[in-house]
Amino acid sequence: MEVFANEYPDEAWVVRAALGSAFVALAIGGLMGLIQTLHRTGFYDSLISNADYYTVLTLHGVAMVLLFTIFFLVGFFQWAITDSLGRKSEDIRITKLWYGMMVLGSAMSAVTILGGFVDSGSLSGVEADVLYTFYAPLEAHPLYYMGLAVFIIGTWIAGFDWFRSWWAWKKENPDERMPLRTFMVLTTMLMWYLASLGVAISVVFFLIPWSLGIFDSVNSLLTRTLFWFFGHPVVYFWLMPVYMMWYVIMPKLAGGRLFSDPLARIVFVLFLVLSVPTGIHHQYVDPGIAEGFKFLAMTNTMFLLLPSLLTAFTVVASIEHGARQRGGEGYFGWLTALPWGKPAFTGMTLAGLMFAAAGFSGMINAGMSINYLVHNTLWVVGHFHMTVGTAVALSIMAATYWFLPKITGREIFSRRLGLAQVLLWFIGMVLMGNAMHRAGLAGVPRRTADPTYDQVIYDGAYGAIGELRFQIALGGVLLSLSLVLFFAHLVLSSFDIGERAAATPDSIPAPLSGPEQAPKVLDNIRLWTSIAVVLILITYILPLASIVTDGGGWLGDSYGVIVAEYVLPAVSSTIDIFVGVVA
Amino acid sequence: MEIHRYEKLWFGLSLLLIVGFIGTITYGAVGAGVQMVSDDGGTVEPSFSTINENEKFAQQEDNQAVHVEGNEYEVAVIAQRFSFQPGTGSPIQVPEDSRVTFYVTSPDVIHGFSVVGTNANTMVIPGQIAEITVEFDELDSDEPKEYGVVCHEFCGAGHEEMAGQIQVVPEDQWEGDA
Amino acid sequence: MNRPGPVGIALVLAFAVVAVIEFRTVLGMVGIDIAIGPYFAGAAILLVGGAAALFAVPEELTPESV
Repeated sequence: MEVFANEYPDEAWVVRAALGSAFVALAIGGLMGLIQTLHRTGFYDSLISNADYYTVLTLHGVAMVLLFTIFFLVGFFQWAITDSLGRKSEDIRITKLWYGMMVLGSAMSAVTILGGFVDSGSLSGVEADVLYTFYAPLEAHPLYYMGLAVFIIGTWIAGFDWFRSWWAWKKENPDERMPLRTFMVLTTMLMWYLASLGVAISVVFFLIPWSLGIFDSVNSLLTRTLFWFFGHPVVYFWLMPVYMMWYVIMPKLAGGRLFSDPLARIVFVLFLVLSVPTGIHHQYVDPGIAEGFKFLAMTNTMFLLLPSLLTAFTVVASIEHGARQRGGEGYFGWLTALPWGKPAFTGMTLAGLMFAAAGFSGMINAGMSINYLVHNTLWVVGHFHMTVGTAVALSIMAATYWFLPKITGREIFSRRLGLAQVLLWFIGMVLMGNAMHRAGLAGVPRRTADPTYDQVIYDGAYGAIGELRFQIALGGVLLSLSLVLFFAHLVLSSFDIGERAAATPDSIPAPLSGPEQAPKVLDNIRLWTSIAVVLILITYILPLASIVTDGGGWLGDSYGVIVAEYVLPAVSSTIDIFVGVVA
Repeated sequence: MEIHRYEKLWFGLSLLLIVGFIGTITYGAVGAGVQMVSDDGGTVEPSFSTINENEKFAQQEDNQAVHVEGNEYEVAVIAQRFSFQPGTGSPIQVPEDSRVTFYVTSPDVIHGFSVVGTNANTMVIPGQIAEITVEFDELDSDEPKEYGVVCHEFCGAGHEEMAGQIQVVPEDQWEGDA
Repeated sequence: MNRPGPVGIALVLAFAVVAVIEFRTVLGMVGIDIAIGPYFAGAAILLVGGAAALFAVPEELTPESV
């Protein structure tokens, strides 16, 4: 078997380009992160003003969780589809088109965010200090929302591109099971189509017309709810490529094979079905949403623990199998037989370990009454820096050490450097993440340039606030150092110092329990998508209807009357018909 | 389809954990009476004039909790860029050993209302009135006790200044209605 | 059990750094305060030890190691 870069040069170009974009975003986001961690802990707050802090924060959020993660995802998924189906893109122009649209959209939004640093000249007035959640009526320049829309449409076309490959493959191989990696890509993209519909409606129908001045106001609770309709499932969009790495790459690196193909498919089906009808758990303390809807969202959220718990089992079982193949023995002795010298393996394992820890703080967040204690405190920031900031980001960086030779055809620069980088990230994040959790328990709020107030004394934290601040700053600096090592590694690898060609890859080994063990119904993605749609309707129709009818209207106080006379009757009769059909 | 024995065991334990979590939260809501912020507070058009006409906000004349009956009190707070009214200029005063219902709304953007170090915490969304009921215990001494209140949602440049205070007053020093 | 190699030592020291720093907080909870200066010096020595161990990691890149 040839190296991917030589076998599919056009596709490998798109994969490299997408990863390049992801890493540019990571570099920008990382720099902003360093500025933030030193500014808000008070260790170095003279570089930027408090007002500019929010521009930095917006850039950090957008660059890290939208651009870095999603650009990496599209590159990685392009590889997964091409490699697992063994066929070129149906039309490489379409593949380049969606990549181009995503770059264009990112650039449009980035210009408006960067405008926040400029107070005079042609860019004055162009700004988007609204953070990545852009809760209206905080208002950004229209270009910010438009860029976001273009970016998301780009991802939609990417999904279509991958479905085309699958349809074409299916025609030629009518009797074969869907390859596991293709299954993972397609179920993830179906989840993404459902989820991103919420933010697309919010942006296209409300925020763009409003920011252009066509409407006077918007219904804040409505746009906020539509954001979280997308805002929770998007975390699974970050996580699914990482799950693919944990299921497909890690067992191979450990010297074994995936424990169970059917269980992997079940996990992805569960994510497709349950990811979207959970978003209201970000709104546990929002007024205007009845308690029952919050309880429903919580129940769905708790059941979403199931696929992650199953993943923990399958991944650990797979690497244990690998260790025993390599001669590992005993209850725990097999741990020493794992290939800890490979940065890809060590990085992904540490990322998985931290994901387990962060899963527990996530269970606290998910409990709707305990959430009162931590909502919008630094606890939440600690939680997502250990999930998306480590489980996802560290896995991506670690997997890059394995992945890069496949798509460039050249070996990486150094194992040692790679190991140092992943270990440093782990240490830095334990310090920062843990201290953030504890500071949050003491009530320190998130999203602020300076969490010290004349009126507020924080106490009750384990360890004084000063020490927590120090740990947050120290952790942030270590994370930045780790990023510097990562980028140095990428640069050194691209100079091709050793002139080493990538090793010819052996294929991904077959699972212990193969797809022939999985019931056919698992591949019926139409069925699972329908179930997901029904669950979304059950969870969202009533809260959305009451948000719109209980005074706010579709657009807040203006135009509400017009909408109430024309649009609402249409919607409510649709709901009546729907209820009638169901009943 | 083959499911290994350990997989089945793990699956069962996972389900047990999940059902257990949902059970404890349900107990918290039904048994211990922890209520969620809900749509009970109602809605109001987000402008000063309409908010001040609202029954709850019209009765809030100064920074003192308004007596309802028994040990129950009400406080209406307007959260706006970048202060709480009342709360920022002078502390919101409530008597000890009381149940105080806060009504909070915003005429401009989304804010937060969080009593630091406690579980009194709500979002403040324009157009919606957040309603939360907080129990204040008896004080340990004759001195008033202060709690910090912060806005925990980014509301614009100046957000980091937005804070206030609640002062729990001993019963014999309470000057408001009782 | 096998004698741990340089990679194993680096890993164990990474965990040790973290544990040592968090342990100070745990001691603080039960009322035992340790001065911060010598404490972080200790953590830094562990960190340097981990870095040194990494330099002893063999750099061979066989197809098996990718």
